[in-house]
Amino acid sequence: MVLFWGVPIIASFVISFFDWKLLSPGEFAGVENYTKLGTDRRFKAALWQTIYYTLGSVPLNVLVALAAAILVNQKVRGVTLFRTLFYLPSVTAGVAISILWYWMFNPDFGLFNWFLGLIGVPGIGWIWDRNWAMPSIILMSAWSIGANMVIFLAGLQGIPEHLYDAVDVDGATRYQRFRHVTLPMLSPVIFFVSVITVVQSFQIFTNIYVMTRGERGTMVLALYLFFKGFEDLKMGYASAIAVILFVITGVIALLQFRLSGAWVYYEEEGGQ
Amino acid sequence: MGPLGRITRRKVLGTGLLGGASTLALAACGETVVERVEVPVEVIKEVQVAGETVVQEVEVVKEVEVPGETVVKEVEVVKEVPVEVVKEVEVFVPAEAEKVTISTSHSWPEHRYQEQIDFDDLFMGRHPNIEIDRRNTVWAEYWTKTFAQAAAGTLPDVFYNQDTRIAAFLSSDSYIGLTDYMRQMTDGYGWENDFVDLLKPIVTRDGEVYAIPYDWGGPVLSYNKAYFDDAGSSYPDASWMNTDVLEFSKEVTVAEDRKWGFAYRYWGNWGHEGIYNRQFGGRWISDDELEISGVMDSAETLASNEFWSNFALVDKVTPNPADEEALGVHPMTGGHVAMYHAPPWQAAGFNDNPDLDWDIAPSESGPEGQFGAALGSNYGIAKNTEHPDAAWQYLSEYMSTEGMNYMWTYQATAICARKSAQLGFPSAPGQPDGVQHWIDAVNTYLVPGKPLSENSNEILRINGEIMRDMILGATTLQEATAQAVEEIEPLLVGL
Repeated sequence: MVLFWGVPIIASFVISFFDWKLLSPGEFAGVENYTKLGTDRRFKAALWQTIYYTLGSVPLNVLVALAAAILVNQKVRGVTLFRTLFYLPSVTAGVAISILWYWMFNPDFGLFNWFLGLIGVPGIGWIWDRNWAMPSIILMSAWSIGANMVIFLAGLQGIPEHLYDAVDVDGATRYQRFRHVTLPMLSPVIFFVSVITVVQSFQIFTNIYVMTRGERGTMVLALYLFFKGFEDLKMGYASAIAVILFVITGVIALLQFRLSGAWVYYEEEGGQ
Repeated sequence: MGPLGRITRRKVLGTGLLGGASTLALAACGETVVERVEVPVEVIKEVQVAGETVVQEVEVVKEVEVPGETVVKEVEVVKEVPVEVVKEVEVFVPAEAEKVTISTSHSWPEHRYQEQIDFDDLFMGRHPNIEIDRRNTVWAEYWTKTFAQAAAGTLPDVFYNQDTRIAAFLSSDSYIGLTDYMRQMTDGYGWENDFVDLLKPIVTRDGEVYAIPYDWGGPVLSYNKAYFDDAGSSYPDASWMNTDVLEFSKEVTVAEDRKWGFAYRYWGNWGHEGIYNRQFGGRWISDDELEISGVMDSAETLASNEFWSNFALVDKVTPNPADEEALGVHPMTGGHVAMYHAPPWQAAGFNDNPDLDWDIAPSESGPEGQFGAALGSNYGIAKNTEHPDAAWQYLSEYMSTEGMNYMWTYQATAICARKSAQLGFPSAPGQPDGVQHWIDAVNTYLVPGKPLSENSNEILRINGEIMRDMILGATTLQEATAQAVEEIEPLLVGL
């Protein structure tokens, strides 16, 4: 853990104070890399695109994962197969998934425009259209819900059956069962899933690298960091971006923890 | 017969023997010997061998009898030829037990990789003591990987590079100097006379040669004959102006059928200035690569960028970058465009489509004349190599006239950087009828691509993103130009 996580994090922090062009020895630059970030319009654009992606993908991912978990929590025939199918994308290589979606998005012969054509809707440019590129990537994020679905499923199965029995006695509808039992009891899980999904969304890289390489308004922070480091060879600058990304992610996670008191129900604490 | 068996002396004019040095070297296995250098047949002469000096040669020129002529002359010419001083170079001659492995890296497309495998197999057959550990990386990943290897000091012994990228490697001292080794390279006409002069400064620093260029060339106007036949128009020729390209493009474009008159592929990249700006008298960055302000935003450059961007933004006669990507095939190969600036290395791709009847013409001219852009690639030996002599053995054969002929000329993929390896290019299989236009272009109106300086990778990436966004309509030409000037200016460090 220390070797593969701690050392690179510390090294990245140290390198962020150097002007290091990868192929040449680095020179100490103080906070210059950080001050440059303040005037770097591409960094600001990448930060905004990352936030845009996070705002779109996190709610979508959490909602779809929760819906899928509720579905596969039913006692119906073949439920194991459905669970496997939903989980499968999570264990498939990100590059393979990206290439699959790349072709499904193809405006000329992709699956999505074919479906739209069936209902008389004109085709969309998807990832090749500047207005649709990021929404397309966000849409794609709903594909990889497997891990979150499993966590939700575990949470659902951990809700005591007697709580449902109690509201059934009171004549609760299915919605009321969900609203007043499932949701509160699941809130710690929703909170946990939200936090890790936000962190993951700030690290989005593979899908965008494969499908658009950050063009057409899809340049996110992790990709910008990669280009700065491994294409422009500015490792010090890239490390500064990494540190900023780390700080932003940490602050948002902290904020989530602070706000969680208002809506997360912890049974053992008697509620908050 | 192995693939190299197809290369006969008959095919190769005026060359020395491929691997001549190596033959001698192997014969003296386990020792260091002085190499005998073979020279072009046009200037047959003895050379200094182990200190022995030869001062002249006799060349006999005979005019042979021609049927129908009555006079038969025989002339003997004695010429004084200055003797080249050949530096004694230690040639790598490994003993049996000293088998070494050298790593090589390439970025071949899949359909060209087999020739590389064959070449390496034949090399290892000639040099049983040298094992080739070969790596091929797709173009999109090659540079990321190679830069990382350079930073880690783990570059392959012999590695591929391109004109627009090599400066960063040269400034970081990633290569060994090759000048001493190059003295051995006298097949063809040697370094001085056989290699295209324009390419030498790109691989040379302070008089030391660090890499050997192998190809050189650029795009000229290619066309799909079907569009012209269907329109009842004559094919493009040397009289075509850029306005003719536009007018014909308007005539044949039916975007909903995925058919356009013209395709961009050099918009915002190394060929942008040569192909689009120069014909209006414009530049992208100054020739010394120190200035962009006052250059990219000059009236001439703005006029040229407006003319060409209008193909996409106003007249809509070209697939924009997004359209092209969505096609899933090169627009020319797929028959989606009537015209396209095509370099020699894309001929094989066009030929993959048997339904595509294509040819090339001289590039169109603009108000200030006819221009285009050219670029080359090269191979060098990494500084971190542990086997420089073995690496040179490989490189010298790979970059020999016969090696270039086999790898590039006879595959019709490039006009080689060695003049002695260019001769077979027009007759290589798959060449279009107008193949000579590619050769004429490099000899006359093509100018080197830009940028070639240390930050070229970053400059090209930034400019490409800005210019592609502009073509997509996300920004205006003026906005894009201002943004490019602002972002690129701090990166210009000069040649």
